[in-house]
This record gives sequence, C-alpha cells and structure tokens, in this order.
Amino acid sequence: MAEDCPRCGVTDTEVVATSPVEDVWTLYRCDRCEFVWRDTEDREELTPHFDASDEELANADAVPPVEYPED
Amino acid sequence: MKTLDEHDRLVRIEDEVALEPDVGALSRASNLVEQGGGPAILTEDLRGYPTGERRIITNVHGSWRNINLAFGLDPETSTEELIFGPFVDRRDERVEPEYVEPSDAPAKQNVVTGDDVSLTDAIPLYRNNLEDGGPYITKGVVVSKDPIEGWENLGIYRIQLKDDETLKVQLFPFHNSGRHFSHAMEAGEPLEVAVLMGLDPVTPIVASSPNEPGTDDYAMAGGIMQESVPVTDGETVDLPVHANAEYVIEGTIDPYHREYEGPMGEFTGTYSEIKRLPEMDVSAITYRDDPIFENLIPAKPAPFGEVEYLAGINTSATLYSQIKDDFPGVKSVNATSPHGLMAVVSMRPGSEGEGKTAAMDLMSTPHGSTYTKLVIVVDEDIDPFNWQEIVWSLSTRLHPGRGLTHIENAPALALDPAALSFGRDDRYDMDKMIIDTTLPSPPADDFQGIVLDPRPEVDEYVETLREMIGGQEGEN
Repeated sequence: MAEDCPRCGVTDTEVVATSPVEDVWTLYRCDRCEFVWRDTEDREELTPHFDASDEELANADAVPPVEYPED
Repeated sequence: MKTLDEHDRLVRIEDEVALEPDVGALSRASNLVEQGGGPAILTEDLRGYPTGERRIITNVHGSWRNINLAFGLDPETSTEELIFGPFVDRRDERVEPEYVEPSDAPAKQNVVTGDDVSLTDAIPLYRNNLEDGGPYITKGVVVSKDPIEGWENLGIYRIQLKDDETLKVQLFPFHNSGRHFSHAMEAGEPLEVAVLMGLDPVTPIVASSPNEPGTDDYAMAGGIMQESVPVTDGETVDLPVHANAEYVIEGTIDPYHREYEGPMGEFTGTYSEIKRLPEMDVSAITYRDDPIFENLIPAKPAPFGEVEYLAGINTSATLYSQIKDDFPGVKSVNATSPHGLMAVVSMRPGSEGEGKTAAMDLMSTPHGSTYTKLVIVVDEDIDPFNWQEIVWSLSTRLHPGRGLTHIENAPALALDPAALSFGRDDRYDMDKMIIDTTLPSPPADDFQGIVLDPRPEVDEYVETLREMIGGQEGEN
C-alpha cells in the first residue's frame, strides 16, 4: 500500500524497491521532494525542520548551475 | 580486511541487523568506541537479504592504526611518519596500472546490465542518519574522463539513491570530476562514469585527496603502494575500472538535468541543505561473488571520523608538496582536521613575514582556496600534529597585532555551516584567517627570543627515568 511522504506529507509517492526476502521492507520515494525512506523506519522521529517547504525547494541551488548550450 | 582481522581491528556482527537504524548507528559507534578511532565493522546478516549474501563493512580507514596496518607499519606509527613515509616520499612516483582481462577480473564475477539493473538488489543501500534525504553511497570512488582533455580522475563524492536504476552525484565544479562534468556541459554530451566500491586501501585515499588536475590517480596509487593497480574494461562505459573491486556501478550523467538531493549529514557534523544535482542513469552493475559493500558515515568527529583519516593523509601530503616548492623552509603540514578546513604549517621562515606568505600560498592552492579558511603557522620546533604544542605556541609566540591576518570575501565551501548566510542576499560567504605564531628572528647580537634548547643530556636522562619508573613513551 502506498505511503504518504513522511517528510513533506504529499501523497504522490512511488515504490522504489522491495526487499529481496519477500515482505520484509519496501523502499519509497516522494515525487515532490525526492525523499527516499524504508517503511520499517520510525518516521515519527523525523523533525519538522526537514519538511522541504515550497520555498526551500524553489530556492534549491543547482550544482553545478545548469547551463544550456548555445544554438 | 584479512590484515585488520589478524590484528583484532575488525568486529564481525553476526546477529541480524536492520539497515536502518542499525548500520548507520554501528558505523558511528565505531568512530567513538576507542580514542584514536575504532575498528572496522562487518555486518553479516542484513534484514531483508538472504543471510550472508550481502554484507556491509564500514570504518575500514577509521583510525591511524587501521591505515598503518594497511601499509605494513607498526599500528602505533605516528601520523607524521605515515604521511611523510609513503605519501610524501612516493608522491611523484608512478606505477602504471596493470590490465586484467574482464574474464579474469573478480569485479566481473557477476554482471547485470540494461533492464536487469537493480541497485537495491545488488547493494544493501541504507540511510546513515535520521534526516538524510535517502540512502547514500559515501565512499564510492568515481572514475571519469575529461571529454575535452582526455585525462582520467578518481574522486570520492556523495551519491544518493533515487530509484533502482538512478543515482544523484554531487560534482562541485572545483573538484576534478566536476571539471570533467563542466567540460561535458560545454560539449553538450553526457559524462560516462563508474563508481568503484570495496578496493585496496590506498586507492580511496588517493581518490579523496586534492591532486592536481591531470594527475594519473591509478598510477599514483600504484606508486604509493609500489604495486600496480589492476584495472579492466568497463562493461558499458569506456573507462578503466578496478579489477578487484567488490562493486562497480557504471552509467552516464546528463549534463543539464538536475533533481532534488539531500539533506545529508556531512563531515562538518551538520546537515547540508537540499540541492539540485545531476542524475546518473545506471547502465551496469558488476560485483564479486558474496560482495561486501564498503561505506562510511561522515559526522562530527571524536576527534576524528573516517573522513578525516581517509582524506587527511593525502590532503596534508598534497598541500605540503605544493607549498614546499615555493617555501623551502616549510617542514610539515597537518591538514587532517576535516578536509583541510584548517591547516597547521610548521616552518623555519627564511625572512620576516614568510609565515604569513606561506599561509597565503597554501590558501591559494586548488584545495586551499576553497576549503581552508584557517592556517596556523608555527616554528619548526613545534610539532604540527601535537595540539598541546600548537596551543603552547599560540600562548607564547603569538603577537595578535602582527600575527593575525583577516581576509574578507573569500571563496566558501557550501558544506561549511559557518558559510551559511541565513536571510542575507548571498547564499554563502566566508572570510579566511591566518594565525602566524612564528617568532621574529632575533638580532645577531641579542639573546632575547632565542628558542631554549634543552641540554643534550636531557634525552638520555628521560630514558633513564623512564626505565626507573617503568613508564611508556608519551603519546602525541
């Protein structure tokens, strides 16, 4: 079953992988903030400092800066 | 690993552990368990993988003892001796890599390409810290080739998992592989890369140090080891890959596409912010039978973590070699504090003020210009690897008016938490400082300020007294 992103709360998440031994863990990724987590982790411990706000994502630096080729 | 095991420097965890939080927590604990760095940790039963089929080793380079053993040295060999032995003396020696046919390369015992690629199936990737943005490869040696100039480089850069076929790689433009990537952007072509994991002990040390652009890193590692590094062909990329690696990940990096990455707990002991980094599309994974994933945890050191041991050796050797050419009076450089953010130079200044200019020279090298924000210069009788002596020099020989130099608006390392400019226009800014504690040369006809040398008999009496009290040589 899909999980909401424990970091930013959105519901658009994807399954990255499942454990080679069946039904032990599932690894998810958030489509918005790209957080990757395992469903066996204690996500209650995550702190709001890391919630990947719209402002943080909008201001995230591209490293190295994106440069488009000249025509 | 065998050498570490023989010297009780390897702890095997046979009980089942969870990838989170156990592996990262064990890795961090190995930094803290002993003064001077702890043993390597091998986890042999990882939850979610068939027992023993996938294993993780951390802290291989996590103490001077571990690294001394890798060189066949006494585990208690001093840091300065280690650095000035293999790494400075053999710095200019080159032993060319030896080509191994792919069919004979242990790194090719298992080959997965195309649609069969699954990073998590092959490699037990895990999140080190609670708030890391995802699982990270923190000790992968990235091989790349300059698409314009043709030279190859080995470098260690942080790499985050995006999905089972994609990674995100941090390539700062001032790093050598970053230079390759900048040229790939200029050319408008994807950059081929390979990520090597689980190697001989020297290649990661060479890869984590600030060698000059154009350095043949495989041949340099061979020179330091006095033995060729075995290399073979990449499966899907035109790059030489370490033939004995536990794992090789191959792929290409699109020059213009970026995706969110981070945060990650960094060597500065703080989380770095979310950035947008290039993506690596994985085209092949090759690995040994029963492979071991070698990784590390960057963290606030105690006083050192594995990053400091791994990168500190050759960073010190490189900075020493670069400034020694200009200032022959330089005796030693200690840049083992995290990644050379600070360096201590010991020297005999050839003229008044040379301590300051040697420090400026260090901060003008490719590594020093970005990383090093503080240089302490001490006289040649002060051991730059002994903090008690450095503090003594600061206490007794510093004249703040003459010895302090503040340089404003210098380049900043984005990972340095002191460089963050919360709420200001600039994202990062950094000043630099020189603390020159070298004494001015006294006039020829004056005795004041002449360094007090102990009588020649003192060393002999130290030995005599040591025997009488059954004491050991003091630790530096």
